[in-house]
Amino acid sequence: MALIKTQGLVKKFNHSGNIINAVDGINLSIEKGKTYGLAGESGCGKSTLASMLSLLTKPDEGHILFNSKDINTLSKHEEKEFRKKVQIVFQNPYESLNPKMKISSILEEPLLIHKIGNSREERKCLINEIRTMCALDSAVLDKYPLELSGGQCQRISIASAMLLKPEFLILDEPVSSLDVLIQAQIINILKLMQKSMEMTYLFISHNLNVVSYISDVIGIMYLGNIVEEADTEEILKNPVHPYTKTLFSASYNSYSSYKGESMAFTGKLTRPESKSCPFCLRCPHCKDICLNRRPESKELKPGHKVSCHLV
Amino acid sequence: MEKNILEINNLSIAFEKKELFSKKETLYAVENIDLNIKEKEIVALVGESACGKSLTALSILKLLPETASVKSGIIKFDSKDIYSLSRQEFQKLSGNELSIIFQNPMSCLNPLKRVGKQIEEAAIAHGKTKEEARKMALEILSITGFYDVEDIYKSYPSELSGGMMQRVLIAMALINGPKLLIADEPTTALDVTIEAQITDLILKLNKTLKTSILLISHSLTLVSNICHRIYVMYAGKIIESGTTSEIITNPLHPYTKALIQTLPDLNIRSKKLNVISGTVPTLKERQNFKCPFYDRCDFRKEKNISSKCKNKIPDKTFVSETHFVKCCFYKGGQNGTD
Amino acid sequence: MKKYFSNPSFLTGTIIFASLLLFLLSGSIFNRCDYDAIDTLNKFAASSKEHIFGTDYLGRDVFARILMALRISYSVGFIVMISGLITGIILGALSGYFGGIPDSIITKIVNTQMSFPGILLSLMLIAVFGNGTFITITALYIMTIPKFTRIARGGFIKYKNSLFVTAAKSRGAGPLRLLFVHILPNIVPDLTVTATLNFSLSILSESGLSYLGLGIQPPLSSFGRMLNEGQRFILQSPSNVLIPAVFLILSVLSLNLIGDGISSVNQK
Repeated sequence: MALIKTQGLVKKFNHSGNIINAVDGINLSIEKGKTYGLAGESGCGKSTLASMLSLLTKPDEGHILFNSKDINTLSKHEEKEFRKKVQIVFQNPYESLNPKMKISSILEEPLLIHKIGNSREERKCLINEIRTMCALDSAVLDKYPLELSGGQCQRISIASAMLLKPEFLILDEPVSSLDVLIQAQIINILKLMQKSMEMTYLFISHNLNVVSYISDVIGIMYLGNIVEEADTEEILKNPVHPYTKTLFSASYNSYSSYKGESMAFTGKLTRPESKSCPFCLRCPHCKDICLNRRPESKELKPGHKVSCHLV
Repeated sequence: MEKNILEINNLSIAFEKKELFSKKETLYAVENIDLNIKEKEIVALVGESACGKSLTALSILKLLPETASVKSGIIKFDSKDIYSLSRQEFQKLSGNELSIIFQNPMSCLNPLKRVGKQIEEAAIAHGKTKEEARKMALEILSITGFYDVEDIYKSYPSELSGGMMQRVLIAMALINGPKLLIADEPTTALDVTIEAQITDLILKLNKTLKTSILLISHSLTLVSNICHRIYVMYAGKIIESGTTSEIITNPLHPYTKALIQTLPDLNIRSKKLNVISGTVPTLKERQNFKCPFYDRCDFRKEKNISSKCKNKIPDKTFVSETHFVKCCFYKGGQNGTD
Repeated sequence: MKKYFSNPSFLTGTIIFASLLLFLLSGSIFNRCDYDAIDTLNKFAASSKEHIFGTDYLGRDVFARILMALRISYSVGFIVMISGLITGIILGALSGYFGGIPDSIITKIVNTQMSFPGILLSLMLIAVFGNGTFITITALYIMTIPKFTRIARGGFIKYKNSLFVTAAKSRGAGPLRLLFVHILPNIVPDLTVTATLNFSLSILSESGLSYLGLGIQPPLSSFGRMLNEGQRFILQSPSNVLIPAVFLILSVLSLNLIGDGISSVNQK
């Protein structure tokens, strides 16, 4: 059962006179209780997508259905309910927290906004529960964000999202700016919480190692399009799209040197025209048909979709 | 036997805090480290954030912040003691024979000047004419992997991507053909595909230009692909060092072992990732323990040697000519009795 | 707070300002004379036990008049500063955070007003409504609104798209909470600097207007009034000019130092 679904989602941006589609017709479906990993480089539109799914930006075209209801048609009251059920954690741990607020206030805020907990004591209790799950000392409650490490700040952001016991958590590059050891710690916490709170995750990252480790399904995003999507095991064994293959070979899966199908780096970033395949300018196998027609999403096997003419 | 291009002996760096109504505080951020780099070598300095690796890099280029200073030790570049050189003598080296690139490429480039002009600056500052500098700039742009060098030369930083900006910075650092390039977390702010390209580039430059490289990173996996030797740093001290294969195949220090085991193994996805409990001690907290890793070490609990570690400063134990570790478990440790 | 007191400007300014307030407080308790008790037989008296600062051209006790002047100047300055601050924050929030048409209207009005010389505006108001304390306060209040609005607006624009505000929005925070719980505390340092500098400027402006005879009216006393009255007899009794001048300089200087100190600490 799909908890969240998008249909033909488009978001346009004006970039020095040209209108480009940061998100270019995305059809996404995330099942309840699963982790969907969205992998792609900077600038591919993942954060824009996250922003639309969390109702922070309105799409230009298309629909987003949460529990089969279009989230852009919600009343003010329903919107507040939505905010309890769908939460987001951002990439930069320090910038996500108000530098002038104590951690205890930061954590109490979601409870106060949604009127959860009838007394100070009750709220304190809920905060302590989440705090322990995120492996945070009670000493952090009296501190300010700038007095803490990046890892601690990120755990606080996660805790403040979890306090509302959401059904769906969007994680936009949650560990990318942290050291490897801290990354591991946070991933462990996320996995634990998902099990105990039965949550659905959308995990966005450019780091394939991390995405593959935590996700059940992986979607590969390039210039606003999902070019390949499959179960994690399947996509690790059989990557089909040329971009997927390059992305995997650039990651360090083990301590052996990677064998790169290196992409031609032609110079400044140029986006291809909207009628072409988004990857045609960098694809080593580009043919005429790729320049003239956008590939449609084909289902190679049940659950494994690819958008490429050459398959 | 190649000679050492960089020799750091017993280096200590401390922060001094003096406020109006309190006593002066000296907090050591880097303690007694030894580090050597030979000609044509790529050496890695690996450690978590706040372990002192960036400060070490800055001290080599005399770029320490106002509140920090070198308290002891010698830094020798090409057999010259850096801190005993005059300002003019050091200026001749900096950007010329010795250069550095930093983590965030965007904040290192002047948004109002064309990229080509910024690259030339480094050459002009060291005595080249405008014409010579322009030629050198175009040449180095081509070496760093750009195809359309004229186009990049005329561009402004805002027209380039993160990866391209980092390559421009590498070009700037290499235009005068330095003997040593220090790269402080050059790929941390970049995507994996660009990371691969940059590390590839560093490897290529080492082979063709014979530049020695000090690569600073928090990722052991990243450095293991291109470095000849690795130094592992924790809380201001070097706790292990050896050739890349020695460190990767036979890590000795509990911290190094943990760093290696942390990487998710894609073959065993259900397994929980190994983490080290606790956090890196603050500068103040470090004064409490002789061994910097004592507080977080699970290894001592496992092997039941806490009594051995508790009050000893771990000494260097060499397990081979090139591989040493500073851990009480491996014989030795200063306190008189063993 | 400790870091502020470590700053020499802030420390010096605070000490001077605190001393002036202490002087005002203790002086008011021990003062025996009325500020408007005329005694022409005793004019230009030198310093004595009864009249610590002597008397002016009408025989009035200068000490009492200084206390009144301090009270009035500081009250006027404070009222103008606080009302300007609150108005500035509200207008800044409306234009900076919400943008669009409110922003265009407010910025146009503020910019137009800033191009108007303050003195001219005060003169116009006085010509229409007559002079006095209330008009002085109103004129100065209108003059300070643009300064506070601009700083507040800049701050709201800077922080409205910051990540922690977006994060709070995603947790369900409404506009009021975002404006006053999240953004406002972050712009307090800049607003405080503007407020202290504005306080000192208001004191100075009030003195200026009163000196011209347009502000505080007799028999009330203010620094400007005392300077105006004293200057005619400067050769006979220089202390009648020097004493209010020194107090005026110390008041303005102390507040400027405080503002300077806060600004330096926050720049680091």
